[in-house]
Amino acid sequence: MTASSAVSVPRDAATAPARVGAVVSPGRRAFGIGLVAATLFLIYAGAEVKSRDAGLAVPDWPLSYGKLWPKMVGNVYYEHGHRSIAAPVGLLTAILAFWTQRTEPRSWVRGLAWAAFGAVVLQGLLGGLTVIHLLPAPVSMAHGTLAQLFLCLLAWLAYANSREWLAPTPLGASVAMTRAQGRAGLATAAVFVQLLLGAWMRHIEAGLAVPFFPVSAEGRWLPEVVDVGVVAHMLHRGFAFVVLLLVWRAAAAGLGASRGLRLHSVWIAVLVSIQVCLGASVVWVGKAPVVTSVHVVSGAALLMSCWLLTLRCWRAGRVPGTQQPALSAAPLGLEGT
Amino acid sequence: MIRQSVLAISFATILACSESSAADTTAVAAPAAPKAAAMETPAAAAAVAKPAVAGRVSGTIKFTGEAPAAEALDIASDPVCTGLHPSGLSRQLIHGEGGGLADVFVQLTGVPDGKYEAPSTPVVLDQVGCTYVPHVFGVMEKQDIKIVNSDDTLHNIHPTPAVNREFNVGMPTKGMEITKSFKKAEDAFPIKCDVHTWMKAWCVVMEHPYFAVSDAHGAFAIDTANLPDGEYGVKAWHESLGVKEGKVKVEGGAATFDLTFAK
Repeated sequence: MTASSAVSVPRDAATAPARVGAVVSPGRRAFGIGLVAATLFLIYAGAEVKSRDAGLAVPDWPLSYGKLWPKMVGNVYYEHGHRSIAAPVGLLTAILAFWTQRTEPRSWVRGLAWAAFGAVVLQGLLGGLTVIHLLPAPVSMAHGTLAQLFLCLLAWLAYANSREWLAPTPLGASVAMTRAQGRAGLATAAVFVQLLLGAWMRHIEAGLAVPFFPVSAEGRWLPEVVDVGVVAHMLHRGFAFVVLLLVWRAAAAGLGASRGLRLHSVWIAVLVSIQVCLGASVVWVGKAPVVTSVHVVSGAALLMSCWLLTLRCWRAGRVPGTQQPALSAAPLGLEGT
Repeated sequence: MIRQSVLAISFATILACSESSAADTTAVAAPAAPKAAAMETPAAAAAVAKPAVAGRVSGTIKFTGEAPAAEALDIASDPVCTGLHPSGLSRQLIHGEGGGLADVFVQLTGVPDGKYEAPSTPVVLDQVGCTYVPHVFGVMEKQDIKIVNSDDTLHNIHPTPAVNREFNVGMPTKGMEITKSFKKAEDAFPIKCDVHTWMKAWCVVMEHPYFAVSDAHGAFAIDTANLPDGEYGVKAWHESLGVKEGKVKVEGGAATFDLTFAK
């Protein structure tokens, strides 16, 4: 597999721009983007397992009822289905790591690819451990959280192989870009914290610990008995509004920093709004599995999108000789990513 | 209005994201057949009680009030189960004939301390018709439980005790049997099949043998072998109606005791 040359840029444009160049590999880039999409689907399938209480429908691991393919009945459909999607994702990640190793001149990108491979192996082990040990909450939470970090790693890997990353003047560095980078980074961190809170709430079965939103029929904000489930639930619920504000703020900064970030900025603003609506809907529909699972995968997509915005802003500020005012006229958009 | 708008946005997103999954939630089982409730009833829980029979504390557990309607179960996810119940399956937790309340676990309390030997015969828990038979059962500490899969589909058996050790074992083939036991006394805890989420049974682990489960007529009979005469407590537990307690005076190894749950 030979890297095709759409754009040739320095070997490690982030740190050593004058050295021998890396090139965009369209095939590897498309492969990476496809793997991101597959991972989002895998996260949805994993969320369905939890939403339908199917985590122990297959008691053994790595086989399922001693077979590679058991009868797909009842909740086996969701648990074994999740495993059946996870295995190809693991295999594709291994292929991507080897492909990157062979064709990528930048050592840190190769490292990133192997980190993704390590993450997917660890993720599989966590999935097996949580089944064998009957779903201990910390292991299940780690499994759910690592899935989303793995997604971010893959997205970073795909972006590192994009024209925008490799091009010498992608978006244009500016004070506004630096501000956007900081705000996008803060939004990413907030979404990640929210993800942890959500995983905690979900795996202590507190998704309906406060069964009304925003207030009960009697006008109460909290149930009469406040226990750890209610605390976890209210932390997740309350912090959602912090996330909403921070992501909107990052989107506004992105809009002001560059035309090339406009679509991305609008996307995260819309996505976080949908995500809050989904969160409320999960309560209103009594944790209906599909709504709950879409809420999970939408959260993963939001984390990835905020992380990518952070990377794009950071990258724009690292390309030498591109100091430009905000709202550069350069017609670069998401198609370059 | 705001709530409806938000829901509309959410559902629009979901439809765009996952058409196939949405279809899963629309599957609804056909209305339950009347016999379905009986499927969840222990086949031979306890002998019919007769007042003051020597060697037994016997009586009837009754129910007054209006029992909730049977809950239709969605069993469409397994063709074997739908084939076994072509007109559907339902769950009626409060059920019984002639005013009696079935599936009540009745035990004597305050019995003399001591070491009670567990029977050598196992309690049989059958997975049959995609239900558990019996639905409620008691077992002594360390007494064997023979778990059988009589269905031509796979089940997993997954008790979730708080005191004893939880386990989860796959039983993928018809006729498969495993034997398990619990070491410590424990109040009622559920046993579930994670494959077929409607399947649920309840187990109580006892230190002594003075317990029984009410039958379809609400009748129960506790064998009082080796129990000294005297006054004992009676504790009756039902999975949705909770616990009721009373006292009974055992004379000549016999006593009668009736109890009524209300809702």
